Amino acid sequence: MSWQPTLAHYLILAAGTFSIGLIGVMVRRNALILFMCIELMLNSVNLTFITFSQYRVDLDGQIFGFIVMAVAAAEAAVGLAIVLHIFRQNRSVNVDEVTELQQ
Amino acid sequence: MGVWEPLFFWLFAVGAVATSVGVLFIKNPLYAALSLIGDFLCFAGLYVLLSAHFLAVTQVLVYTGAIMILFVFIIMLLNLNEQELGERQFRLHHILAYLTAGIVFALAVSAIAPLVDQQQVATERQRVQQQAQNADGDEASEGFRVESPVPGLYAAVNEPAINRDFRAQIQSWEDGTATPADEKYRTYDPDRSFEVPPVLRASEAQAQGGTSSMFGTVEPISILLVNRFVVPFELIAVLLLAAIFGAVVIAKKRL
Amino acid sequence: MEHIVSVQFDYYLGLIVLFPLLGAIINGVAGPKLPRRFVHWIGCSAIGLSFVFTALSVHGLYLNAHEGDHGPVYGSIVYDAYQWIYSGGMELDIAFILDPLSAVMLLVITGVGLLIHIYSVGYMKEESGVWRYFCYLNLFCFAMLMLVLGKNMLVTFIGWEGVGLCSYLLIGYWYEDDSNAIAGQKAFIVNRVGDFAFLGGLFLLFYQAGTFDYVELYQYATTAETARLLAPVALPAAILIFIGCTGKSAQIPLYTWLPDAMAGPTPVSALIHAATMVTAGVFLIARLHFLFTFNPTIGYVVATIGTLTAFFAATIAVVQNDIKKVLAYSTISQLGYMFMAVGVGAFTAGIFHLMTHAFFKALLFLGSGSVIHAMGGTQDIREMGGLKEWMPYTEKTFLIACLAISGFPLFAGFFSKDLILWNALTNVHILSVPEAASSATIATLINSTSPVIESGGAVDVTTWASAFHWGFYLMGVLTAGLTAFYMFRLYFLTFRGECRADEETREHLHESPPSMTLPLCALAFLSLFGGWTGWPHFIPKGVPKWLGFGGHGHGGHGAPEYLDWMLGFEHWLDEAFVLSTSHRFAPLFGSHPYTQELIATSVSVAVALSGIGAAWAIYLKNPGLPKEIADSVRGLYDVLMNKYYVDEVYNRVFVQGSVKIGSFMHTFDEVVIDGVLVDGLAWFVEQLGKILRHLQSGNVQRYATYIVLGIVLFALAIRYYQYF
Repeated sequence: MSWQPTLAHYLILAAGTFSIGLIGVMVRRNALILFMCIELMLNSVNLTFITFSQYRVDLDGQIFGFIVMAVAAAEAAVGLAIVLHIFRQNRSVNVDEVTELQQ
Repeated sequence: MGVWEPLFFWLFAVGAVATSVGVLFIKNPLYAALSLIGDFLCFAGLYVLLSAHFLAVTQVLVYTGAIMILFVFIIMLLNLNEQELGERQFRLHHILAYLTAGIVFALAVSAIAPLVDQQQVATERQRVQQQAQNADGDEASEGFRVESPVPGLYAAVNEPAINRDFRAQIQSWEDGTATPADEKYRTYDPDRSFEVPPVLRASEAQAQGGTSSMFGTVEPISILLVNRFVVPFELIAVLLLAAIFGAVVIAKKRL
Repeated sequence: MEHIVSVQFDYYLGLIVLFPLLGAIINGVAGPKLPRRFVHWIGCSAIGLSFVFTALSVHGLYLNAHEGDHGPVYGSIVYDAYQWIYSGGMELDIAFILDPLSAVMLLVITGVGLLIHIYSVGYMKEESGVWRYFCYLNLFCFAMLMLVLGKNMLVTFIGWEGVGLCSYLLIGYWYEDDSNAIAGQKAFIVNRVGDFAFLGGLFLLFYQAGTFDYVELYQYATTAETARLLAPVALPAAILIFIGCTGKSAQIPLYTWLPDAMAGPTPVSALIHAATMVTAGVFLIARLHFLFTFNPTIGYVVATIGTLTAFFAATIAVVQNDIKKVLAYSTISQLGYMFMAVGVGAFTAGIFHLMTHAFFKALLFLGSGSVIHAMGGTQDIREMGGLKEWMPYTEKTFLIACLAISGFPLFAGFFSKDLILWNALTNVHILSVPEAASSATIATLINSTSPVIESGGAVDVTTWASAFHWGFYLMGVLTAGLTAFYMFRLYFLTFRGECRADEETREHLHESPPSMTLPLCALAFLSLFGGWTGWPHFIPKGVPKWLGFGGHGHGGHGAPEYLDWMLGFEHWLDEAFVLSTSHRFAPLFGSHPYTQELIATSVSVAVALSGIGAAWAIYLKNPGLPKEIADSVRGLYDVLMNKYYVDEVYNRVFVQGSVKIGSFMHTFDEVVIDGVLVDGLAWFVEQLGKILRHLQSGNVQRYATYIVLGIVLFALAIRYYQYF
């Protein structure tokens, strides 16, 4: 590993933040933070896209990043609405109290 | 290679990891959101380094400026107190979660590491440089290329070779008569090799005075969006509309 | 068989098959709602249209003939209806082929079938729900036509199973009576045994030759290089297919179902169990003649089984008292003749007898149906007698049929039966594989103990083979005598003498309606003149040319001059079997084959006439005599009466045996399958469920963790699979 950033640096950074986001999704109980972690994972993937885009001098990757952002925005809007709804019903945003699936 | 690119890379990289860990461990959602905003800014910086200028700006505008603000609004709207936030509990499946994420990371690294085998790159670079030095005068003046098995590593190419192979192309980009996207998609050739002239790589372009300053700016992306990717682009519009309706309907007091 | 004619009307072949299917579908779906008259019309017009198109296409085939080396060559018409299975190297179509052989079968099926459909309208008049009957009957015609027209063995097999199914459905047509349903099941199950062997033979052939197509198989068997490859499987494949044929065509040892099959309506017995379905085995052997002549041993097996069946069935028929049972055993016996013919390689004779038999046996069954109809359901000939008075048409046509089956000169059976007997005595058949491999090479390849010896170009047979031929002939002649005897016993007991029926029945006696008598007359006409296309060879040769009813010789110079139409049937079919050349040897006194034919024919006619005479003397002249004879040979009589106790033996060995196996299997099923496997598995799952229940927490995050874990494990497996 050299000091100079290379393809591998960017990719491993993306993998790291992705894994952190993954842990957050699996561990954090607060639905809001859970969503934030999902955004984090989406961003990591975006970073991978853009890294390869630059690496291959191919703008397709950046277009993908753009599309992912738009989808993330839509997902955040709907997701937050759902969180709001859950809060109204349960007076809580902790996902482990939402156990309707068990029944 | 300048000193600025590594410097900023490590700055943003450490910042991104630190703020991500912050999101993971900070209990108060508001602070977590702030940490995430920092994270996104770091990502935007990395995008700039990767010569994705347009996306960097979009990242700041959309993520930091819109989505995170929405988060913060919601957090303030709910105004959760200590009791509603709940105790931080340790569950058995958390171990499983950490383990799983660890394996994911290990798998990713194990897949990436051999992709750029530094040892191989070094020996390859040495080999082709040797070959360039040993070249005859005639050959050297006309320029020559050496194939290399390392993906993306363009073998030692001297100035005349670059000029011969890519001058016209680069000239057209600089003149504004064509764009990289133009070149790629008007005459799309699936057999085109993966080799990329080093001057076009953003990092080296920077060192050489911004030869390929067009890459990643609004113009080529917009051209692509309204040409080749026009259908996904329109679909995004539909998706956003649907999301708006969905958000409004779900968030209403009564369904 | 190789030569395929391309014609405009090839889709007619599809139509021939389609009409009965359409009739069956319409009657099957809409039948219950339709008025009775419509049901009749649909059923009859379906087979009628089929007959019309058969006639048109056979005529087209006839017109397409061109002159070959040995007379006209008709070739074949092929119609590819549907691409069925295309898998790997196998290409299987629903394809139909019309060649002289299938043309004969088609005309018999649709022609006789049409007459029987018309007859059924009258016969089934008092039945309710007749739509079911006509639906089955049309469906049967469809399956039979598939069987006959199929260009590859699997299409034939579809038809083969289809006719078996329809046979089962129609035998059990009056299923309210348990014994009828059981008879249907018996037919079905016995046929299954044969079909299983048939399938085995079919797959064996496919395994070796890689094709189900008759034309390709034919080329495979007649090309020197591939014939060598076929040699090891030819015998087992042919034997297996022959077992299938014994099932369908009611030969020893699988004949027991046919007498019981008489439980069905009489027209069904006429169509399925006399004229068409039971002859499918003969047809199949003729279709696969290249396989059955490949190894002479196969031919001797087939002919021996046929001869034995012919003789034993005839002896059983002598003592039966049920009018339909007599006819059933007679059918088995006549089928034995056909197998004798195809066994010695006289395929033309076999198919000829198949055709004439279809005419007179259908007529006999329809006549008996007419009698049963008039008697109000009684089938016992001891309660009949003197019916001539009431039923003139039935009696006359029945007499014609009896004369035909007995081989009375100039009647249909005379020509075909004597052709068979002559061939049984003198015919040896071996496949001639062109050029590279002579038949002798093949023969040595196949079997060093071949019955056929080829010495310096001439064909001879070994001593034991010669003994077999004498056996075929003598048993055949004996059977001819027995046939004449029992048929006229039936005739005399039924139509002559005094009426033994009770008053009530006698008042009820009447001639059948025209819809029944007209088919009888048509079939009587065919029984009279149907054989006139195959005169004994010595006759056309003897008719002076100047009599001049348009005869001319085929071929070039020196070809025999005879009256064309008198050997028409033989010429029509000769080309179909042209490559399996026939060799005659000379076991009889005369050196010229036609002299032998004359002698053989005279002998069998004399025997048949004495059979008729004996029947007249015993049953008409001295009505008391039969009882005396039966008493004097009580033991033999009982054996015959009980059909050699074959049913009892089968019942003891196979039925009881399978019941025993079944009960063991039942215990096995209860204890091991149900007890250990099924219940044990349920217990195991229950215990496992009690443990795994805790995983179902309803916590989304846990679920997410499991999902991710699963993906990760999967990724690990893909990444490191080479180390496992």
